[in-house]
Amino acid sequence: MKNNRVRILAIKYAVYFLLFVLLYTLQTTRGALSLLGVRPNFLIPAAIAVAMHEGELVGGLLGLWAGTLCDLSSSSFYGLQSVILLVVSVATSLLVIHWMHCSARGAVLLTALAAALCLFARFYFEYGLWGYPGISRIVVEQTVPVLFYTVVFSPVLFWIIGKIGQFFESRIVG
Amino acid sequence: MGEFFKSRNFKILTGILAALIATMFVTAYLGGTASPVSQVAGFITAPFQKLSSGISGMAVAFFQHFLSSEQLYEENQALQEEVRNLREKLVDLDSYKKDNEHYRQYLDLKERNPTFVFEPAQVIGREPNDRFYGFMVDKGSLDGVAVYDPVITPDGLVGWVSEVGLSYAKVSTILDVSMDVGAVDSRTRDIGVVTGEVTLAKDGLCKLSYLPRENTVQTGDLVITSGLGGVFPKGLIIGTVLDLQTEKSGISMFATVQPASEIKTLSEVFLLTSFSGQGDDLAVEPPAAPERPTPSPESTADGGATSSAPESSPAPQGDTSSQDAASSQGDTASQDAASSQAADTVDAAAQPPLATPTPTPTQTPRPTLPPSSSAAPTPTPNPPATVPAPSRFDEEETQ
Repeated sequence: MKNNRVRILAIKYAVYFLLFVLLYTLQTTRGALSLLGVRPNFLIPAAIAVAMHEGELVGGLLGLWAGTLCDLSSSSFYGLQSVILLVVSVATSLLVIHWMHCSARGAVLLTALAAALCLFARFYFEYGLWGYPGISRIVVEQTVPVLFYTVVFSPVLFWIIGKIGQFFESRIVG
Repeated sequence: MGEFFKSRNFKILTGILAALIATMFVTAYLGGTASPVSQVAGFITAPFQKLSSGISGMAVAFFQHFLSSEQLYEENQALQEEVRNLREKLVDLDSYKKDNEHYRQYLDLKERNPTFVFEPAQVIGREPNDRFYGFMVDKGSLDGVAVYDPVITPDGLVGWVSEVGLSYAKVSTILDVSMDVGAVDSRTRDIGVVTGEVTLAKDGLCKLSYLPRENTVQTGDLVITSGLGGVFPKGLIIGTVLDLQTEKSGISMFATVQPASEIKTLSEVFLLTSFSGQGDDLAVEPPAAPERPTPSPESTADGGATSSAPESSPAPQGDTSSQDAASSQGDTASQDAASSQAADTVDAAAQPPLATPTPTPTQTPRPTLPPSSSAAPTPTPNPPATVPAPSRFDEEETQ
């Protein structure tokens, strides 16, 4: 039974890993789900959803992977979003374990907070810090729309990741 | 909650966080070199992105037919007519070129520029939140690509490689505010610096800055690279002048430039890994990390590579000669001298390999100067060597 559990958990984490790669591919593909020139970030809500379902260690590690992928497509320096998503994922797990319910409403709230932290930190280090003229338009026309568009996908990804978790958990029990 | 901070998980996560922060600092210190973690992530994701990009391209091509408006339809018809005419003119070319439409453009470029060494690349990813349309291509250091390699299309300059992984590279475009390219008007030989601007970037435009007030640039003029500095080859088409305006300072002027390449919708590019004159005018020290400019006003007014690195550090971009010349904008006399000197230097070199129209002689007579910018110039009202290049701060002070 123990070997079965380890094997199924390994497969589950591999599925999460690949799901993140697919989400990254989707969000960086030209024209995919673009709405008025704005494209969502799928990795932030996915990392939050995994953290809510899987606990602090797995949540933190997959948050780190999500952040690494965000950093890969970002023009800012490596590590910024990795650090933020690692810390935010662990904090999310602890919040869900001790104070919050693991619900879609909570996922939306936590995704909004995490996305705001990631996007505004990135804006600050890429543009704000250097004082380029007219950068406030980037916030209005890019950062805020991306934030809202990202949050929209939070319940969907929360549901998908919940179903994946349940699928593998049921296999272990069975 | 307290148990978590005493648990093994907390120690593991803290260790990872510490390692991550250390990697962050090392990567920031090394500049354009991708971190090992990024290399691995890029290696894993690149095949998926390539596949996805191909599928996306097919889907876009499929739906484009249904989404076309009447205007696009007419434009499409006109373009098809033009293509038919061009094909008639190309009837004497051999069958290989006809059968390989993609490589025909590559061969044309290669034939016109025998010293260019190209690496064709496919755009595999675009950052959703990048206002300046930076993108990722499927070629990396394993293919001989290096940081600062120019990125072009058969239409003209796109940007340069800002970061290189083993199997991928990130490209910063000429729409980026941190990008500065020494440029020259192919007709008038007025020099300037092509750079991005937040407002213009939204419409896929950039600007040719630091033009002297007495310039003769006109709408429709071609803007090409000056080639000074050795980062970009001389004569690459950058774009076409759309309009000319006076800077807020009132001292110099700038032109809005429509890039020749469709940067927003590119799917295939060429990475220029080697060309004649590459690195000729670079500093002895290797290029510094591609840092963001310091927030000081001098860095933004300096034009060229100095906008991407502090003045005290070696400039990563090579067009320093033209840009330094162009940066002497605060003083009209020195501006004249700098413009004349750089323009004559450009005139003295070979004709641009990609600029299709032959530049006409300059309309305004310019003082004769030695072709080399390092040689002592003939007497001018105010030789640039004796006048310190004023910064933007100086300009504002003057105001």
